[in-house]
Amino acid sequence: MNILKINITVMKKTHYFVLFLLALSCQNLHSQGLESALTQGRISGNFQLEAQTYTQDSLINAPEAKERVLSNGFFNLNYNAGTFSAGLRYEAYQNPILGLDPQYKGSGIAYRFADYNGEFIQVTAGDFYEQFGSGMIFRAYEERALGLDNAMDGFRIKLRPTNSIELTALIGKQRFFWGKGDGLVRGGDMNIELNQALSLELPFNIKIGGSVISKYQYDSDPFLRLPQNVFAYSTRASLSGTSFLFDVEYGQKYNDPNASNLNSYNKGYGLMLSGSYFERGFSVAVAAHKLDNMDFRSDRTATGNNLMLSYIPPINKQNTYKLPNIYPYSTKLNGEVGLQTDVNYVFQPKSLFGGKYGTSLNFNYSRIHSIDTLHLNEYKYKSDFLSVGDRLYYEDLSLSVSKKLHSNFKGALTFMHITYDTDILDNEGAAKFGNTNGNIIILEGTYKFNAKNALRMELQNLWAKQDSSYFIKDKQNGDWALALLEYSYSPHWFVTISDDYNYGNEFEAKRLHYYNLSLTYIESASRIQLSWGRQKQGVICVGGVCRQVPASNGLYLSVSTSF
Amino acid sequence: MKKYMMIIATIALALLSMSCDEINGNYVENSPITVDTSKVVQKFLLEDYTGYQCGNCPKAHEEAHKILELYPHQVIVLGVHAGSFAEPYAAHPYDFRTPIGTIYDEFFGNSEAGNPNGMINRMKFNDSYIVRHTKWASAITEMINDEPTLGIKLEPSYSDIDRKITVKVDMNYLKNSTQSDYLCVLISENNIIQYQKDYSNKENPDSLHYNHEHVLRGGITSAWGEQVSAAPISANQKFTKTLTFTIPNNDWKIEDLNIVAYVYSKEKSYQILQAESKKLK
Repeated sequence: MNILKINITVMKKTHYFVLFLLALSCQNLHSQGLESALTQGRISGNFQLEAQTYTQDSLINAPEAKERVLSNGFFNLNYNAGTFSAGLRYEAYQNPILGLDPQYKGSGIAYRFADYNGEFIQVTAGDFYEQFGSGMIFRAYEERALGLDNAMDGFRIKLRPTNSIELTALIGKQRFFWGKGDGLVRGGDMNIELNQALSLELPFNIKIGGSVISKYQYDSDPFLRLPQNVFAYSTRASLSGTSFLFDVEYGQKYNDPNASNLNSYNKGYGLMLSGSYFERGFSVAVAAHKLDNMDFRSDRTATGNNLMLSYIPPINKQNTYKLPNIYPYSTKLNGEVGLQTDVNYVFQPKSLFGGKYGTSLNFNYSRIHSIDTLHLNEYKYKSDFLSVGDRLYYEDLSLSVSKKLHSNFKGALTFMHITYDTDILDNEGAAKFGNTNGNIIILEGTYKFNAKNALRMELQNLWAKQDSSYFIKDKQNGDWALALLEYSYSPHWFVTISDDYNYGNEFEAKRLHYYNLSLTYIESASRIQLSWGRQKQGVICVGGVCRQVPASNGLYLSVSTSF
Repeated sequence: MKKYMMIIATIALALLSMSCDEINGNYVENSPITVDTSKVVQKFLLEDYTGYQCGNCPKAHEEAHKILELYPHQVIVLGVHAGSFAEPYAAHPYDFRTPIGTIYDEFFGNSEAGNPNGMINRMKFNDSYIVRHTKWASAITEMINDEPTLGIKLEPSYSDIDRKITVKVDMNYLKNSTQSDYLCVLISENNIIQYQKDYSNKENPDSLHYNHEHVLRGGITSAWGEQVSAAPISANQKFTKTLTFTIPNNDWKIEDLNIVAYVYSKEKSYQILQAESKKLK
């Protein structure tokens, strides 16, 4: 009965969902299944709201918002009864916080679905997220920090004829703000666990998979003859044992002239290789990839992060510390060659370097280059798949030591070196800033007073220098220092105070402090955060996908809960 | 058996995905669309929201120029300089911005969405007014043979003595319409030589003598215009409005000025029903 009451209260705003349930109940009034669904079902969901006030701060180029307060809100409501589930998401951008595309302005039901998930078959109607393999030719996902949501709206079928085989087929269109993209996406995916499927008794597991995607978009371009159906495929294999993992994936896309590749009719290629070895106290991971013309979207005219089909996991170190993220790397889907090595080693307790509690070491090296291309004409270029371009886009090297020094105190020291092609990454490739070389030192320590009270501290310094032949300072501009103190009274309260200081700015008037004070309260699944301070202009990236963040000065409120 | 049928059906569905069109050579479209220009045709106001500090905007200017060359009788380009990319600063003090352009920009959210972008007859595509320059040509082509609601005829004149512009606007309705139609008349200027950031020139993105074309200079009417008729409009009804405007004492070059007029429908979410343009002299 409670469920019905909840449904009625939500009805005003969630008419799609309720209409769907009503339609279901009309058609199956006497169905045992429905009765049990309504009596045994469970409602779950979550809520998230972030709001920011904007005060003009001309020193950091922070604008004032006409509305004074901007906010983004999300409310997910899911109903689950055994094999059946349905749900929706209400979103309200009133108006979108700065940095998000203002085309999100408005509110409404942005996502709704119904799903039957039996043992053999799963059918989804409506909106869904999905990923084939690593995502090289298809990934529909949501990343709120980036304002990215390329959910599919259509049908998806998954078949599991045996425990070792899963087949997926889908058709639909992708979300484009409050509408749908022009392109129609069709695709299929297969995953097979070979050991089980062939009853092999091997000391390692073998998984293989393959995917196909084709998108259709009407060609009404008056200048070019464009392919209306563009096809892409990928194949992959994974070998895993108790101490190792090896993955390979290769994808290809047929001619796909689009806005991002400047109407190139070349095919696209992608190869990803990764291997890792791990044992107690030691692990090493190596990854490499080559991408050539792999920006694949359901609408050939789409730009920014809109209507993406392809996703390539980043190959550089993903930093959690703030100053290294001043120079984040965004994956160049249309051409890059990358290599990454990551090594972890633990000196055991009571060894020479381990001391009483042991010592952990992490070493990472990433290097990303352009690809070598030779333009044959306006629409075609030649690129040897095994060649590497001369231009270094990005390089990072980091060494980190973390150690528990006392029963109440643990610390970590990190050194990083970054080389960042600012023209490619911040300026569309036009000559302006040159490369930036950065050296970073980070010291982190946590002192636990007792089971409830702890104090965490971060000290970071970035020395950044641009190539001497360029005199225009990049947007990050010189040396930075950061100090952060976080006091936690667990499990409920967290107070953080931090200051990012751009002491090395070329212009004396811009040697500013970006202070921030934050108070967080957590109560089981609910979290409330209130912050006040300055946010520098920059770029945030999640998984190699980035967006611009404008400077801001004001109060920030975030409330989230799940039920 | 049923299981196997389902597997076959799923694989078949996936195989259906394997559609692919390969274009080998002959990439350029060589079957142009023909439009009968002897009758009243639908015209398209292509608003290019831009800024001199926007390094990617020249790509959009170039695209607008290509479209204008392709459909010279049906496309009217208007360069609206607004938002942060258009703000002058010490090194480049020339101010392209106009109060009327800023009103449009803030209302439709163009510069907030990141330049370059534009609007085509202020129609919504995928539920959004904002259309990226990469989509302009195909969007206009899809509508190029649309039947217009009305035709607009402009008769501008200019008096050197008092710098006064007079524009006679004749509106000839071909279809029924409503009292929510409004007429706006604007002024644009070609050949303004000023600085432009241009990322298409990778070696030197600072173009000091860039030719800015179709630049919105101001409004003869207010931003939201004058009501065409206080009563519902029937096909074959004709309306005439005569408007005057005195050019302020500034650097506008009379020989490069254009009059741009359009009728939009408030009822149809500000959609422009017809547009027209004519050189002042």
